[in-house]
Amino acid sequence: MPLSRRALLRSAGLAFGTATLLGGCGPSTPASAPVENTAGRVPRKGGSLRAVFTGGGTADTLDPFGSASPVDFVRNDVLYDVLFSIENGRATPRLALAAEPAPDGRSFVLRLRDGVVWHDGSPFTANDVAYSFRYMSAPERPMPSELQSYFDLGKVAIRDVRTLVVPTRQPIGDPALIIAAFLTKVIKDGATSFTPTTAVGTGSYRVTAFEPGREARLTRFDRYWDGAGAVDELVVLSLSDPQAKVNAVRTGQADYAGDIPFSMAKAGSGSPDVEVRTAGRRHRVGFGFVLNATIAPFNDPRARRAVRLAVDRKSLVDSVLLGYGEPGNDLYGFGTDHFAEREPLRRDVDQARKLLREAGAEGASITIRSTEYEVGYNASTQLLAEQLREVGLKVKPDIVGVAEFFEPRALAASNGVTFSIGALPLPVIYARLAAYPSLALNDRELNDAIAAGLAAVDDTARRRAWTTVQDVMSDRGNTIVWGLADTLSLERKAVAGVEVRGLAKYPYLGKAGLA
Amino acid sequence: MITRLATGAALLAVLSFLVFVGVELLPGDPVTTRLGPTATPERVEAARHQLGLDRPVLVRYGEWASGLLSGDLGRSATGKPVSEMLADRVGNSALLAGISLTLLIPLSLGLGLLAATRRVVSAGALVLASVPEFVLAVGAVLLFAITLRWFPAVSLIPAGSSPLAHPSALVLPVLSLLAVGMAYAIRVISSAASTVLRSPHVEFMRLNGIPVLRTAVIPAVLPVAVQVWLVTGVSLVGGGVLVEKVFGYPGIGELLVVSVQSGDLPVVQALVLILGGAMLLALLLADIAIRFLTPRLRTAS
Repeated sequence: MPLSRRALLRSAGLAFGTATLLGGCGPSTPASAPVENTAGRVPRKGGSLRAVFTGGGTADTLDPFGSASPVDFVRNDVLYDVLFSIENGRATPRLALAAEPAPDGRSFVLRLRDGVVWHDGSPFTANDVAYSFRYMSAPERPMPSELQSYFDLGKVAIRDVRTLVVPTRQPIGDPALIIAAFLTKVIKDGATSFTPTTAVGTGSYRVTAFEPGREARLTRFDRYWDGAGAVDELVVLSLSDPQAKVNAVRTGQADYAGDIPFSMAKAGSGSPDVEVRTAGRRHRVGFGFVLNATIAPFNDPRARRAVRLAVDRKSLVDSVLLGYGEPGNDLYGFGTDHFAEREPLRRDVDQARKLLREAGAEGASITIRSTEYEVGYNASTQLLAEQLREVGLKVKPDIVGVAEFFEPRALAASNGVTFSIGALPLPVIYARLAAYPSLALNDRELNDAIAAGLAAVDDTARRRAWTTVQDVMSDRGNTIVWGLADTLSLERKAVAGVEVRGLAKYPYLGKAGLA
Repeated sequence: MITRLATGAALLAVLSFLVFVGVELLPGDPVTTRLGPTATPERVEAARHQLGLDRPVLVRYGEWASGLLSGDLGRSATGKPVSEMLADRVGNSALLAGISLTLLIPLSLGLGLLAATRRVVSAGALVLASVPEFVLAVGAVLLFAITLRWFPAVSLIPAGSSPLAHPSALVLPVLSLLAVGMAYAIRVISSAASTVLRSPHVEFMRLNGIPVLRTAVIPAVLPVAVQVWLVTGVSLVGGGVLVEKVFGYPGIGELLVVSVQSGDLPVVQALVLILGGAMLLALLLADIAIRFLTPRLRTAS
């Protein structure tokens, strides 16, 4: 199943930032717990909101299918609409109203919303959707959409101005969820360039000025179908250094800094009208490792279980997440539909040693590949190495740069890799794991259950299938999700209306403002 | 003079080759980085062909170098033209370095001469020289932006406007760069000055009541100082990498860090070449300046 780097960057979350300078010097006493961002407060109309996110320098782009850094995802989310978004682990209708699967699951009827207009005033139609499908999956694109591995996007038929029929490549019971998971943004029929003058979307804000690596100035689109936004102007700022993001809010140059490192949160807000906030428990991100089950020693389920028993989750949560999180139960997908909330395995060094002995892996030398995709990844790998030494495994952390992490040969030769994934639907999570030959668990029961979960039309069958998937993973799986991490932001206390649609790292600012 | 220019051009050619090959040798494959690890072998091959990566290194270097001569820096991994991505950034970094250098020249000359006779000044310069630039930058942010709130902590420059239109955003980056360059320049100038001051002819002049500073010290120090200023000026552009990052200043240093992290090799190649080329140019100019300011060298041939 093809998987572009962009998809992975998005799902894993980017941490362009390097180690922090000031963060480490913060007070050693724990700061007060982050404040949960609640939906209760309503922003007032008018004014402007300045939000800063990690950017990619002059590589920043208004192309919704070329987004590669957090600032691109956040900005383009308010400029363009998706067909369906993910809210609370389920597909929520946006530009589409419904995706109704045919009885055999081999195609679905996509019904579109009426009364939507583009920023230039023209009406939104099925032609725009058909064009967007073709555009995002064109093979000559540098990063074609992975949606085409589920749907045959070349054979989309337009039935009328509000209806399309989309053939699928395998039976899919909930096509809306797949569409939502792969961020199916809609661009205008015929659009090929995305400059401040040609970037036309249907979103709640339209672009008035844009300079890659600096900022985008967005103006409220008063004809937005879902109710116009609160602030008159949204300024989305792009910075590459995490400390600079934090400083911008602390000194009043910005109102909101997205995804700040734990160490900087620990250092406190630094100002009485600024606070550290979290998107909430159900948006926590799974931090962990995936073991390579295709080569020794982890091709033996006993060796995999031994590692899970040897991990000291509490100590990893304390020292890597600095307490901003909780121990994980080795399953990815916390907070989404059908996730199995089970107790984490208890640490048992003796049992781990015994299992390793049985698997013939006592004293084995293994490499774990790591990169600082998220701040703390490399530290977690070093810590894991120490913990596994206690059960007699010799771990060699293989710390590399972000750009080279996915070198296929190196990935296949590693015994394990660091891996994190946020609260995305289970079908997406297991598709992502299966996308890498060396990360996939080749287990017949697992693969059958995943296919059944994908094809199931009713909720009972879906739950049954995903429970089986997670039973297999709990029993002989190759994922070690040692922690669930908070996504933290630094905000002026007046900031309100920030929503999570999909991943908390890339909040939706279309309704945000100042209370 | 002609031979110096020719040597400069040859060095630039060697530098461009080293940059190209050096960056090519970095770990990570641009195609798999771009397409993801699970792209089919046919797609990887097609992309390799499309990007021209299936041809020998020398051929690709030739194309890249001939593109450079016509001002074409190639395309970034994102598909954008590299020259477009760098245009404003080069100007912004040059502006920062230019302002710093303008302040540095009189300050370092004055303090350098003072340091030749005042221990405390030269000790101060030594202390400054031992502090890494990013520590200075972070310290400046803590003191002047977060505690005193005199200047912005981050150099946020609105879209479509030049940093020059926002002088307050330039103050802290300039101060940090200035501090970095000053320490070195003061030390070099003061050591040149104290050598002159200790020489017998200066002693003789002083005994005869001739003002030594204007007639002996400055003329002797100037060739050294000019050389230091030129080299420092360029190293402020390159050495500003961390300073730019700390302040989020939209210059080439910040872009270099981001591009290395995201593996955008064409951008890295162009930036390293620009920084290296500027340094070569500065050395060449310094060489010419020294000949111009030192009559002995001009007449020797």
